[in-house]
Amino acid sequence: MRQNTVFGDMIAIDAHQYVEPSRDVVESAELVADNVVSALDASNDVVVVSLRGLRGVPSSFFNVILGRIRASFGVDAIRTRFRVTDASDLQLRVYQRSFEAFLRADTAVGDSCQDGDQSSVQTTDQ
Amino acid sequence: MLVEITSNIDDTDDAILGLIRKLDLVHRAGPDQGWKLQCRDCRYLGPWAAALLASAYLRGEQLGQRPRIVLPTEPRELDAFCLFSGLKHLKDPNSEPPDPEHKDCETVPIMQFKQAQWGQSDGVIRLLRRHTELGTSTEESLRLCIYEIAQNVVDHAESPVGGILCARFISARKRVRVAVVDRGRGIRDTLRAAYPDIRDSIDALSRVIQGGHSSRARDNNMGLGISNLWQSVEDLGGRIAIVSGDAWARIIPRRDPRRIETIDCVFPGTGVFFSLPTDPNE
Repeated sequence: MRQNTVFGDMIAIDAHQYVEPSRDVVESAELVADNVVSALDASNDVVVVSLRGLRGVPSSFFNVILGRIRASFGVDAIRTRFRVTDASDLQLRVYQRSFEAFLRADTAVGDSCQDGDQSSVQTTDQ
Repeated sequence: MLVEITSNIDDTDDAILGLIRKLDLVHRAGPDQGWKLQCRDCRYLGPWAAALLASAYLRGEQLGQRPRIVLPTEPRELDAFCLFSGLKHLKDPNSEPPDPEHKDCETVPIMQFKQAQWGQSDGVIRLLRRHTELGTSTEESLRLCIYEIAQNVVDHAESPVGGILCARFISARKRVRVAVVDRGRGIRDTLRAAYPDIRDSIDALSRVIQGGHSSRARDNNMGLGISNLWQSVEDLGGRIAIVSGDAWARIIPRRDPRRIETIDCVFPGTGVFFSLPTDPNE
């Protein structure tokens, strides 16, 4: 059974639970995104997606999740209420590029976007 | 129509471009126009060539062209490659299928795909683990590269044969070589839907390598896939060539991190050919 873990004011979602060799990358991302959006909707907590156990996560995985958060809660929620954790350097880099692409896209449609935005990456021990 | 391939097709940019030029007649053949590729006198074929030959063959079958490929039978190593890569089985489905777990096999057989799944890169990783000690960072980069290309094919190419992947571990050089070929719309035509100002295939390739340009065919498209792929190969000291339409982009090691040029023929689709060191300390 898939479960989220609650740490104080954070809800942790283990992405690995949604990954199977025969499953589409985008399909997995949609399942994770469903869970993230539900968790964000149900509380004011920060939602953290753990990438522990995943190797070489592609940009489309992050794009699906970030896109769903933006569609439901606006781009600010990506900055303030979402994190990824247990990520390798490469995963962080790929995530960072997706994160920045969403901020740029948001700027392009006229919303404000301040300089110095930091990606919602939480660095933890591997 | 008879096309003879007498030269050795190593996994180098120039050899692959030479093969694409040779295949130009085949690529331009119309429905029901039969063709035969005579490769009997060739003495070397690699996974990059195998993916190209397979894509030509499978598309030819779809078009009713009655394609024929005459594979070399010597030297013995090349004959084995034709077996392990699945080239023999492709042209003769009644023949023995390739066994990727065979002790002598250093090849991931030709794989046709229409989805981008997590397991897409498993065959390549298994192969490498059987033959070498695979570091975590190399595995990660390799998986990322394959996922990004596969997702690109599925999301954008509209390829009638899907994507075709073939890979090989070159033990003497401690390198893995991977090719993914599609017979779809090509990068220029795909991007033009969103960017009518795209001038040509060179401009299109330049934009996808830079990143941030996408046809937005699906919600998950942000135009980062090829850019992430390119950067990962570059960071690991690998080699890459991307052929699409009448242009190709490549890294020329120690000379030019990104060179994009026109080619004197048109490849009907996109081919991504890359090689990574399996031991980053080498």
